[in-house]
Amino acid sequence: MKKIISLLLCLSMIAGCVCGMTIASAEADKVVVGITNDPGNIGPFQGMSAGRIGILFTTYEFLVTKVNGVRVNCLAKEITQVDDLVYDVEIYDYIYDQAGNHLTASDVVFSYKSGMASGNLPKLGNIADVVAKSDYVVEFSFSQLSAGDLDALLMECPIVTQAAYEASPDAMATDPVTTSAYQVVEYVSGSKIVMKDTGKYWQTDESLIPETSRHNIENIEFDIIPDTAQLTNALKTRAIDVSVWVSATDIDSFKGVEGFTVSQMEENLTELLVFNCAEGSVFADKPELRKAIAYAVDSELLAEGAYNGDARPVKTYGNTKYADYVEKWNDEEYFEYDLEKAKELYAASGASNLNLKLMYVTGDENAMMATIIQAELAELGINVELCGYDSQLYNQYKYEPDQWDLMLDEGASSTNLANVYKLGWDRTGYVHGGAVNFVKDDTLQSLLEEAMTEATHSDETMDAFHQYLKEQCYGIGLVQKLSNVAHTDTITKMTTCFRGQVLPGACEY
Amino acid sequence: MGRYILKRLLWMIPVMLGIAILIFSITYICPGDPAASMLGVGATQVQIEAKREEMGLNDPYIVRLGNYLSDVFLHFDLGDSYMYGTPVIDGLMERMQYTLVIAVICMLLQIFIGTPLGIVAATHRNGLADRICMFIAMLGVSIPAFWLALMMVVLFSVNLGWLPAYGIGGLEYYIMPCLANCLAGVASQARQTRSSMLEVLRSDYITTAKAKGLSNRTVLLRHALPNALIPIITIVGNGMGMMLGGTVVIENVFSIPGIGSYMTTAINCRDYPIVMGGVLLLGLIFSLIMLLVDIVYAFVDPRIKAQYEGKKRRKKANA
Repeated sequence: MKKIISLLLCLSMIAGCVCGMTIASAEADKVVVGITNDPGNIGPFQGMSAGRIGILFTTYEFLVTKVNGVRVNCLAKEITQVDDLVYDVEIYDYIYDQAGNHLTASDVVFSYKSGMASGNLPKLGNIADVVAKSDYVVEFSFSQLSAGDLDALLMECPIVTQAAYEASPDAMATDPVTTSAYQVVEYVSGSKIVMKDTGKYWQTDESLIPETSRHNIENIEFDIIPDTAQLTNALKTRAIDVSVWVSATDIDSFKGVEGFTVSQMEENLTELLVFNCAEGSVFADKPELRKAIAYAVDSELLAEGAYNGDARPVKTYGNTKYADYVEKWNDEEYFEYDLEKAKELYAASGASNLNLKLMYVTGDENAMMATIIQAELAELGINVELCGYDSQLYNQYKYEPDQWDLMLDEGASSTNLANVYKLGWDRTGYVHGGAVNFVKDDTLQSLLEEAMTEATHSDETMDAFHQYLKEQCYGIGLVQKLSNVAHTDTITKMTTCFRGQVLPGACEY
Repeated sequence: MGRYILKRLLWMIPVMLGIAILIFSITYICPGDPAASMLGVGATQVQIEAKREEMGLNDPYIVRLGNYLSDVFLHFDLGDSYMYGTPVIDGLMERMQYTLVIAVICMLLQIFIGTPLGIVAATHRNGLADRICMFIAMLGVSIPAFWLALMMVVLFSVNLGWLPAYGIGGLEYYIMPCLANCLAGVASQARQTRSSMLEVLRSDYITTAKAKGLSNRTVLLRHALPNALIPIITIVGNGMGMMLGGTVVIENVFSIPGIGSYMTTAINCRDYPIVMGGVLLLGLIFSLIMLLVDIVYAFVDPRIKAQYEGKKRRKKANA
């Protein structure tokens, strides 16, 4: 009996090994992208998630998209402003989805209304009404519109035809029918998503195809690999061709290695340091203390120490990637590391023997940044307790003033810098009535409204807000990240979307 | 026997109710906000609060518990996933196949490797074979599955390129996950078998059997092993239950879309319907396995069967 079992085990092992020999062999017309999270539901009106973001632009098309920070039309042919809060969007009259359904203005209305009804696309809350004015013109009425909101709204909702959506038995959860060049042909939940170029993409004029809609390869497979160590192994064995999720510590193992290239891409994420200014907090009404800490934190060191040089210090509460970033800030002083100045300001603040809680989301880079800040503030005689939480707890505690004194936050927006400011400092977005750090500063709020309102959004208003925030030092920008994307040499030119995800259809092979 | 099984099945109702209340209460007090997860980083606190209200997360504990128990036990509905918007039961069933494949293969390996190792160790007590078997068992118990898994990947996938590092597919995809997952089970099985066999081999009836001139093989397989089976069956039953719920690490390392990875993702995203549904399903399966183990006891050991039937006879006699 034992002999039989041993024989069977040996045979299965040999069979497995023989099969395994062929695993790494790549197909010429196929690219495999490694992602760490399962989208779970590929339907058009689901909320954004780490899994969904990776496949979104390959699966769906939107009215507009962004390329190098600039709005580019996709399904939309022309956008016309009717008045301050009303815009007409004309779509191309020759758009067909993968099932051959003709896309018209009523389908756009259907998509937006479904998206709004789902409650999963929070940005659509600004839409007061959306109606079809003609077969190919949609009128959007907004309840309010900040700078960049129009772009955000027009690229927030995936567009599908009503006929295809209603024909789907599971609301397109596993078999979306879209206007994209790629159609999902296989979805194994938690494992992989396979897409294929249908060969009948509606936009035949190459010059009108935006980067996010390009289709340079026939087959795309997204492999879901939750473990980042395994992601690295998968790339090393060439089981996948590319992933943006290879950890910073593993990326070096691909640099200079034959058959692999590491492409450096700009991210829209900025690491921020926020001071808790809730009533009764240690930082409330103490700008000297806030500035003392700002000057004691060395952003250059953070970029080197926490990001291995793959980050650079920023000059505002956001990063340089956005079109509304004011260039003159590059030449201005912005809390450059100065320990002596920090000590002076600390003494002037009258504070002593401080014990502060620094809250951050757990992760290698954040933990390293927090440790560096802890060491730097020790130079001032400030004791920092590191409070690292998983993102869920962090997102809960960030609204509770008793949980933190200093917070390492992350700022990002798919539209513009004004939106980064808005997400942090717009008091109307918070239940507690203060800003991200609980401060209730009317001047800050009015300057923000000037900067983020479409009509008054300009370099001057942006600068006014930036200077006031800098002067008050409620929060500072630390570093902006540069992501290293390791890929096989099959990809000759790497392309990512404005959300930092690989656009496999737009890469060159 | 039939009455016993029916009774045990009925007992499972309060057990499942208890599990449901317990897991609901744990998720209720657990910090973290599913609404924030659903809306992503771009949502404001006001939008998150509105979503919480819409999802009923601001309702009192007792209302939410009542709704949940009513959905589960009266309508057999485990709800929809917060993140995916799909029915939890569909997600669990879709992924159950992969977890089952791993669990069954691991269990077979545990039985067919662990048991012979234990028998060999017991029959060669304190000899070289015993020491080798127990050394292997000690290693198996001591080596963490995730470490072994990663080492195997480095050797067989990265360096040798023989086996796929991750994913699902043919038989080759299950070799490393199953070996890494079953090692601790094999080791426990070997140790338990050795211990049980040693106790049985010291019994008088074994000495008698040997004195009658029976071959060692017959003594071992016909007389010793059946009598040593009860603790072995117990560990197999427990092992199967543990394997079903305990493949979390292995599924994550090898990117196998089973129940474990489904629940891990759900825990990270505070997708409570999946967490609660998964725990309930695993609780149900575990209870059924334990029932099966008890039934197998009766078939293996006539004394236990007599106990079940004895009660019935006593009742008849009293009547």
